[in-house]
This record gives sequence, C-alpha cells and structure tokens, in this order.
Amino acid sequence: MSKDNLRSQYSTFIMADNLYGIDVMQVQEITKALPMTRVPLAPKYVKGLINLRGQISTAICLKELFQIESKRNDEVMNVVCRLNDILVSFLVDKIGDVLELEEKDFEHVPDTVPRSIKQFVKGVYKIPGKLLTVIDTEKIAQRIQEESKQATMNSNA
Amino acid sequence: MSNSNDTAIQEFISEGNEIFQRVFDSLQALEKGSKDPELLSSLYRDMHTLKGTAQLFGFQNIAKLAHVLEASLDPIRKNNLSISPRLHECCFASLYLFGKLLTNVQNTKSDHGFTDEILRMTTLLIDAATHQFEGEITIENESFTGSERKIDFEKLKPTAEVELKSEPRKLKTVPEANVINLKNDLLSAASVAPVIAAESAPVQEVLSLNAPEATIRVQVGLLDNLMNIIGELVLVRNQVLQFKNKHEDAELLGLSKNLDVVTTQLQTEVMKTRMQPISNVVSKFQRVVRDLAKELNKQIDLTLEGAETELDKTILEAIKDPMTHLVRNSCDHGIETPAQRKSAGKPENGHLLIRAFHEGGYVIVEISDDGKGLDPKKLIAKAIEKNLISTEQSLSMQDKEVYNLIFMPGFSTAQNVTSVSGRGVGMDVVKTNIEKIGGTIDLNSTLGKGMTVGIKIPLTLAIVPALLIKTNGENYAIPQVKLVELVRVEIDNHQSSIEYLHGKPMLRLRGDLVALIDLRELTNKNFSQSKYEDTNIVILNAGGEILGLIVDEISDTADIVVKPLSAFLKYLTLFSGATILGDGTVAIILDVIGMAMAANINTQRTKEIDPSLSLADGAVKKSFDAQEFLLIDVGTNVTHAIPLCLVQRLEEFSLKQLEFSGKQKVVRYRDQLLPILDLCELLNYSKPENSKEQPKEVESIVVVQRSGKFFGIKVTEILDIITADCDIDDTVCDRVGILGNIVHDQTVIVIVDILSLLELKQHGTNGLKKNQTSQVQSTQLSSKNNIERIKSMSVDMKSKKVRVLYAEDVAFFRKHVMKVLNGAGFEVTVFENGAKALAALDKSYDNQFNLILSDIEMPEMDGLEFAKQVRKRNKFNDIPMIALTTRFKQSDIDAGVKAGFTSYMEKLDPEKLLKQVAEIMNLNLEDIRRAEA
Repeated sequence: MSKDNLRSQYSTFIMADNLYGIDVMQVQEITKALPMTRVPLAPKYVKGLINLRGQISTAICLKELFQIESKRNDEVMNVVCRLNDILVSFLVDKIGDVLELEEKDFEHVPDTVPRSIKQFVKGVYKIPGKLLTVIDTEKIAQRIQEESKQATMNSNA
Repeated sequence: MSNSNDTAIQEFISEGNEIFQRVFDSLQALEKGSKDPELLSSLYRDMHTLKGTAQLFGFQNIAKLAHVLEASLDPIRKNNLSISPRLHECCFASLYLFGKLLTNVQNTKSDHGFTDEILRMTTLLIDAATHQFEGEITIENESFTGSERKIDFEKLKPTAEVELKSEPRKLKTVPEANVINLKNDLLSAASVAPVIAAESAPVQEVLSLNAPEATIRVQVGLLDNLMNIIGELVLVRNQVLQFKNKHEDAELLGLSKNLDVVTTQLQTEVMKTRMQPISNVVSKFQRVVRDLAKELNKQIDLTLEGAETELDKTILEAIKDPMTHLVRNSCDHGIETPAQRKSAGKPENGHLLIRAFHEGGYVIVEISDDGKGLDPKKLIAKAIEKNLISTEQSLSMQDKEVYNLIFMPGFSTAQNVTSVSGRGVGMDVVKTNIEKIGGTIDLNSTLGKGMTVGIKIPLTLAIVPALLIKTNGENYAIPQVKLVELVRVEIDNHQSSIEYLHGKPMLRLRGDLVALIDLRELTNKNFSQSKYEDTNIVILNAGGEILGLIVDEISDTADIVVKPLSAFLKYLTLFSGATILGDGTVAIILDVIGMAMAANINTQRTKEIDPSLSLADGAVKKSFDAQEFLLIDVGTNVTHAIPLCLVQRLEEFSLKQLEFSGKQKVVRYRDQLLPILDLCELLNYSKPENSKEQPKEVESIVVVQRSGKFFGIKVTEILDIITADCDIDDTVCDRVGILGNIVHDQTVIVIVDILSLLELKQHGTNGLKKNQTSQVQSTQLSSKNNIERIKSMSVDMKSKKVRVLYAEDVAFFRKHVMKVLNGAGFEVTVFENGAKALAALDKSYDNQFNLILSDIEMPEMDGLEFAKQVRKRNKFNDIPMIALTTRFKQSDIDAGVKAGFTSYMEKLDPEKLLKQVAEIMNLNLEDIRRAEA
C-alpha cells in the first residue's frame, strides 16, 4: 500500500480561530453546550461536570490546557471522548466537518509551535487554505493523570 | 474432556464450595445433637452430587474421597442411626481435605496431590464407619475396602467408559446385606452419570439434585450494569415527573404516573437481585470460630441471629473482612480460656453472638462476646506508652472515648502477638473499611462482662438518601448517614449566635462547642468572611467528631445515585462522587471526613459514633441537674417552655391537613388521629387583641405522648431548645397547667405542665360525655379540687416517715417527682442511674430506705436490671419498688413485675403516685378512699 492511499477521518473543530482535529474513532459524540457543575479546587482546565444522558462527563477546556489566550469565553460545543475509560468533554468554540485526509499531507509539528501546545499534538495536516492541528488525546489523558498523581502526593505530604 | 473448559471448572468450584458449606453446616448441626434425618440425607446427597460432578470433570481424588464418605454415611442414613463422634470427627477432617482439594483445583485446574492424605482419610473413614456397625463388621469392611479399591485405581477415568460401567457391576457382587444393596442401587445410579456425561445431559440431573429451587447464575457485572441503567431510568423518570408538573396534560399525567410506578417496581426488583442474606458471610464464621477455638484451646459457641437479613452484594463483600477480623478478635482477645472463665465465675463455654437486623434504612450487625471486655486502664496505659495520647488527655476521657482508642492506627492490646491477632494493625483498618462503604462502627464494653461491636451499614451503595444544599450557586449533596441536625442561626435571635475563637467561627449547641467550617472557604481558598449574620448550619458527624458546615441554602432531601468522580479528580478528597439530580443538573457529593480533614479536624479522636447516641452521651456529660426545654411562643409576650423529654416530635401541618372530629381539631398522623389542642386555650390565656391577623399557612405543632397516645399541641411559634440547670421556681403559679418559672438569659420562662393539662383535657371530655351540661369551668374547678385533695393526702402521710430512694436519669422528672414527694413530707434521695442507686443501697444502713422508685430506661444500669439486682440481695426483699416510666405496654409491665417491681406506673402523675405510695406504704388508706368517694 502506498503512502498516498492511507486515509484517516478527523472530526474537526475551531478554537481561537485555529482548526483542530481528533481521530473520528475516538470521538463518542458531539453535543451542544450543556449545563455544567463547577468542581471547586479542581485544576483550571476542568470546567465542571456535565450530565450526558445519565453519565457524568468531565468538561475540559482545551484552550486552558493549551494555554491559549482568549478574550472571549465562547466555548459552546462539547466534543465527547473516552480517554482510558474516563468520559471527558472537550469544550470548543465551533464544530467543523469530518474531514478525510491523506497521509501524504501529514507533517510533524514545526518546532516553533509553543511547547504548551506542541506536547499535545500529533502533527499537522496541510489542507487547502488552512492547517489542521491533530490532537493527541493519549497525551492529554497522560498529562491529566500525571497532574492528578502529583496533586495526590502533594495533598498527602 | 473438560479440563480445557475454564468456565465449567469455575462452576464446579463454586458449586463445590457451596456443597462444602452446606455439608459443614449439616455436620455442625449433627454434632450439636440434631436428630433431623433430613440432615444426614442432605449430607449424603451432597456427597453424591460432588462425586458425580468430580467424576465428570476427571477429578478422581475428589470423587474417591466423596465416594468413601458417602458410603460411610449410607448405612447410618438407611438405618436411621445417629452418627458416632469418631465418624463425625473423620467427616470434618475429610471435609477440610475437600477444601484443600478444591483450592488446588482452583489454582492448578487439577486435583493431583494429597494422595497420601486421601488414602489415610479413606482408611480412617471406613474404620470409623465399621466401628459403629459392629454387628456388620465383616460385610461392611469387605464392601468398603472393595469399593475403595475400585475407585482407587487410576483407571477410574471418566473417559474410560468401560471401567466405569464395570464398577456398579462389581459392586453388585458384594455380599448382600440390606444396607449394602440399597447403597449399591444408588451407587449404580450415580456412576451411570459420568458415562453419559459426554452427552452432557446428566449434568442437569446432577445439578438439579443440588438445586431444588429454580435459580440461575448470573454474572455480577451484568447485575451491576442493570443497576446502573435502572439508576439512569430513575433519573429520566424524575425529569419526566418535573416536566409533568409544568404541563397540565391529563394524558401526560396518567402516563407519567404509570412510568413512576413501573420504574419504582423495577428499581426495587433489581435491587432485590443484588440482595443476599447476610448468612452468606456469617455462616462461614461457624467454621472460623470452631477452628480458632481449637487452636486457642478455648470453648466458644457461636450463635447467629437474623442471618436472613439481606444486604447488597457489594456491601456484603466489603464487610466480610472487617467482620472476620472482629470475630477473630473476640475469640482471641475477648473470650478467656475455660480456666480463666471458671475462676471468673462464668460458664466455661464462651459465647459469641452475631446479630443482624434492620433499623431505619440501615442494617445493623452486632458482634458481641461474653469475654473479659475492654479494660479502660490498660487501654489508656497502652495509648500513652505508644504516644497516641498524652497523660493529660487521658484524664479527661470518657470511657467511650477510651474504647475508641483501639481504632487508632498502631494500637493493639493483646499481651502476646499470636498467629490470630495482635500485630497492632486491624481495628483501624476495620474502621476505615466500614466507613468507606458509608457505615459507622460503634463499640460498647463492660469490663469482665464482654463487649459488643455494632456496625451500621447502608442497605445498598447504589442509592443513598442525601441532603441537598446550595453554596455559591452550586448544588451539593451530603449523605444522610453523616447528618446530625440542621441549625439556623439568626442575628436577631439572641438565643444563639456564632462566636469567634481566634478568628474561627464556633457555635454553642446545647452546651457543646461545635467548630464551624464554611463550605465557601473550603471550596475557594481565597474566601474569607469575618462576620456571619443569618446562617444555615449543617451539623455533621465526621467519624465521631461533630462539626458544623456553614452553607448558603438548604434545599431538599433526595435519594441519589452515587457516581464516582473521574479518576483524575479522585485526589479531591473533599468530594466523594457526583450525582444527577431530578432536574438533570449534576451535584457534587461532599465527603464529610475529607472536609473535616481539610479543616484540620482530627477525626481519629473519636468521641461518639452513632449520632443517636450523641444526645444520651451529651446528657451524661452535662451537669447532673441540667434540663433541656423547648422554648415556645403561645401568643403572649412571655416565653413558655415544655420539658424536652416530653416532646416526641415537632411537626408543621398546613391548614388543609386540619380536620374536625366533632368540635375537636384533628390531623391524620401516622395512621392515627392526632387531636390538636391549642396551648393558648389550654392555659386559658385570652387571645391577644390584635389577633385579627390572617391565620398562618402552617401550624407549628409539638407532638407529645401521654399513656401511649399522641397529642398535638398547637403553639404560635417554636423558638429554640435551651439547656438550663436551675430549679423550677413554683412560687408564682397563677393558673392550672403551669409548673413554675425558670430564669434563663435574664428572662423569665414559664414552664408548662403539659401532661397535667392533657389529663385535665381528657377528664374534661369524659365529664362531658357523662354530663352534657357540664362546662369547661367545672373541669377546672374539679382540677382545683384535685390539688386540694393531694395536699390533704400529703398532710396525712407526714405522720409516717417515708424514706425514698429514687433512680431517674432525666433531670426534669427527677425534680418533678422529688417535689411531689418532698411536698408530701417524704425524704427523697435521688440517683441518676440504677448502678449508682444500687451502690448507695448497698452502703445504706438497715431500713434507711423503705421505698424504691425507679425509671426503666436509664444509662449504665436500667431499671429492670436494677430491680433484679435489688431483689437478689435478700435483705432488701421487703422494700417495695415502684417503676415510674413512660413505657406502658403490657409486655413492659410484665417484664417489670418479673424483674421485681411491686407496681408499675406512669411518670408525671402526682396524684396517682401519691395514692400508690400511700397504698403500698399502708398509709391512711381510709382517708384516700374517702377522698375518692
């Protein structure tokens, strides 16, 4: 099989005018903004708990996690994923189409991208007119679990 | 054929374990002398089943052992004999061998090994069996060795069909004694099973032998899923019900009602599938105790009560280890060796009781022993030695606090470390494990008499009753089990307010200082508030420590479905989970222990565990004379009070609930009619002039009980509860129904004699029945006569000196009765419980007391025990004893009379009391009769 024929589907969304994508297989569903219950003392990127038809999902603000400065607080959509059996909803500004992209357009993340974002990114797709940043949900899961471990240790100390 | 089939083997093991347990139980019952022939038959059947299935799976060793055991029991069963002790012991031994073999199967999927033991055991069994049948020795011996040999060979593989078929044939050639023939018939039937086993049909037959009831095994995971889905259905149902309230559509109304009913049914039924009798856990203790007793050279009987009480399977699993620990503890540390027990004057057999019962949505499991109990002195010494507490701390500790020391990490009182216990870990783990499932643990002990550990556990983990509160606009839920009470502090109300100690808010709650923590502060580190005004406080019990949580708003109570927080938020120890409320919003569940820890409150320093105990405990802590009063407003400008010990409940009824029976206002209350009496009218106060204001939407009702009947007392407002330790001053008593006044916080409070008022009212209505024309006025007159009568009686009694010993724990009654008796010229000495009274009685000189009055329900030693103890001492046999109590059922009276009380009467009825005393003391009976006429 040649490299050109490898195709993957991505569920895309927009945050602070940038286009991001998550492998469509990892996305459980996309919903509109739902009422949230704030979790006091939780990390800043945990925006709250959402009732997803009886399941409780933890809302994570990707902009906060990526340390993207944004004046507007206009996350209105939830991208619901299951990370290592934890149900999370990524809060994003706007939902894009599901794009089928070819492997040949894939690039690694250029070094100039800020580390705070780069650590969660798999790579970049060059699509006509714009660039699509592919998010590595594994890395996000790893990061939040590490932070939780750290916090547990701190609270025990 | 089946070794590859893991699930099948798993089935075999779980069935084997079931059989194992059942056989053990039967053997135990037989040992205790049960003559039930069904026991032996079931034992026999079980062995037979085990043999069949073992052969099916190719476990020849198990099959062999089962066969020999079966064969040994057969003649006994057939001839209806009782099992000999020797054979019995062999049966136990072989059962243990079964256990080992089963474990082996579980671990290695084969039952190889233990060949020698099996051989020895079979020989022993046959020996024991033949020994019991001396008359048939030869035949039996032959047959048994014969059969044993047959099963012993390696060729007895289930796959070797020919060999198996040959077995019954060979057996049939054994010389014919009745016993043997019958057995052979059965044997042949059994051994056919493995032959056809390849077609798997007989498996059913074998199983059906074992399971007479129609049951199927289901994976627990499946039930868990089902439970979760039901949980969600319940939430959807709640949402539909809320939606329905907003829309007045008749069809929707009907449909949602149906949905409601069906969902509730479904929920209860599915809950039932997860419920298992507690016997699944506790019956195993028979074996544990038996083994331990052997190992420790003690004699211990275990009694199980309420083993059929059902609990959620998850909880059952969770309490298994803690309970095993407690049982082992009792056996090892609690119950003494027979020699020690004998010298302590106890029966040589120690007794362990495990009791399970339902109480208010919880299951309570009590493990009590009659061993030596906890020694507070030893505990303190140990705790000081281990630096767990300081010497000063130890001085101020209550016994209960001392007992709870054993729950501290690193504490063990056993002198020697034994293989059973004593390594200093355990009780703290027991406590944490019980608390983890939302339970509480409580400990009671009497030195030399034994101790009782009570575990209070919720029925199910999945659905918990909770209190919903709001803070910072967010909903939070607090499990009800942690809840003690709700307090509202209002700035205008000078009765109680928040005080500050080094900047930290504190609340005085009925004489106790309660540390307050603010939920806003806990959930927001930058938050600080220096002054509180009107405040809602939730009083919580954090592992025994009482704390007050300041919240913005108290919303409601609800049954919530607990869902865990995401794994990466688990480190937030303030929260124990989340739940979805009826309106679909998510509420976070607060973890009371976690909050206490966040506020640096030490939850290890346990005071009292059961919130229900905290009141009783508090009462003891307070001074001897402290009394609690319910402050009420009756529409006059003077605050009135009712002794709290008389108050059953405080209720609010809406005007809609009020109905009339004749002219009497009533409310339907707990399946009976509750008459509503206006205190203002009872006391004959005139209604204030400005009472033209609209009647209130809800009426505040104080429910009191008299002679087993409830009465609702309507008051204008319920104000507060205070603790006052001053005397009731009865110099000013301007009307009937007033006991006197007390001064509290520089204000005069009028104490209402509610029971007399009720009696007056009742007499009044009786009078009305007899004589339609009589007026309320006349009742009042007659009551005045009553008072006069009492006074005249008193004068008569003064002629003979009556010296009364009176035991009563409630200060109010103590004072009241004392006043009545003193008024009649008696000498009264009071004690706050039976133990103290008894001690005083023992020290008294001859004829110091010539009458004993006692309450029934008292701490330390209750009235019944007190009476028994008094009657035990022959020299006090002549002193009449009167029980003064509010318990007035016939069974209570019988119990009282049995314990040695001369008579039994109701508290707070001065006239009757004096009459009774006079009667018993032979005082001027003539006068009283005259007075009655």
